[in-house]
Amino acid sequence: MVKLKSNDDKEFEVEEAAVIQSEMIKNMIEDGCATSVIPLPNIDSKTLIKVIEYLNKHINMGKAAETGEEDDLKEFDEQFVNMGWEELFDVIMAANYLNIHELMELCCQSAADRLKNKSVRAVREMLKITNDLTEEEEQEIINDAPWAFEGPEIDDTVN
Amino acid sequence: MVKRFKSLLRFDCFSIGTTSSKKYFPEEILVEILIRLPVKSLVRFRCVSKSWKTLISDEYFKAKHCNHAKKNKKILIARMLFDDVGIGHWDFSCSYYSCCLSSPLSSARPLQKLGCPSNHNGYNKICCCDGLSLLLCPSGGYLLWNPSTNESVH
Repeated sequence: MVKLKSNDDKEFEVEEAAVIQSEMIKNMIEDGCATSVIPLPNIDSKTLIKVIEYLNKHINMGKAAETGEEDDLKEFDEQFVNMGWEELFDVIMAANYLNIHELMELCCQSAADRLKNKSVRAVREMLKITNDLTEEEEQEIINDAPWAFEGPEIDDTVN
Repeated sequence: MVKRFKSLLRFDCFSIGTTSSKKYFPEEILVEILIRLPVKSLVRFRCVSKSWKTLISDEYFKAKHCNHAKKNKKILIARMLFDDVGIGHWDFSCSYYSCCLSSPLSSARPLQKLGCPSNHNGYNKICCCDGLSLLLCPSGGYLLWNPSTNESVH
């Protein structure tokens, strides 16, 4: 068992087989740096619980194909990313920090799916970006490819 | 490839797990998300801010976007559809190769419908490379067509 500590001082025990899906922790274990609790100063307990849930479910991913559990895993993944935008943001940051490749792929794809049809205004609001383009610069980009700004799929709502 | 993006200050701020309401993705993560977007979204999102415009127009980003589509076997589907009077029209869409294998082509739901070059009837496709198509025009000559943006040159 490996002990992880979130930045709000909560400790979690995770099986080594699950936790080594994180390249960062795998390297720590291999280097003998994981003898006591591993502090994770960038991750809060709420996010860490989600990440551990993912790691535990994906523990036998290699075996899933043999035992026909692929569909089960796919369904779990779909349910897993069904979270709020802010929560997804935190899980992406955690997956990046811990270097969990599959989780990163899953969450980045979910973020892309949510942004795909958004209007420019909605993207700015979701990612808290201040527009620093002048009106003329903006108009120039629109005139360059007006088709990209038209279409029934374009969604101006946030989330 | 070692080339790094020009520093885009806005995304350098790292503030995970704080109570701050300002949360920015660092640039490396933003790139991971944006390479998964269709071309239409990316062309539109150049309007988000100066740094997004620079990032999306960057050659290294374009190469990464193209590689991601290739790795996931995103393909161009060209179908000849016949209207009521029996005239054939090309119908172009974009989908994943795996989707086409798992369901018959006629029922596969395209990821994205694409436009066609004007007066495209009678054109013959010769080859495709890196998302570009080379078409042979009925009147002679060639047309180089980018299906994602519907831009073409004779």
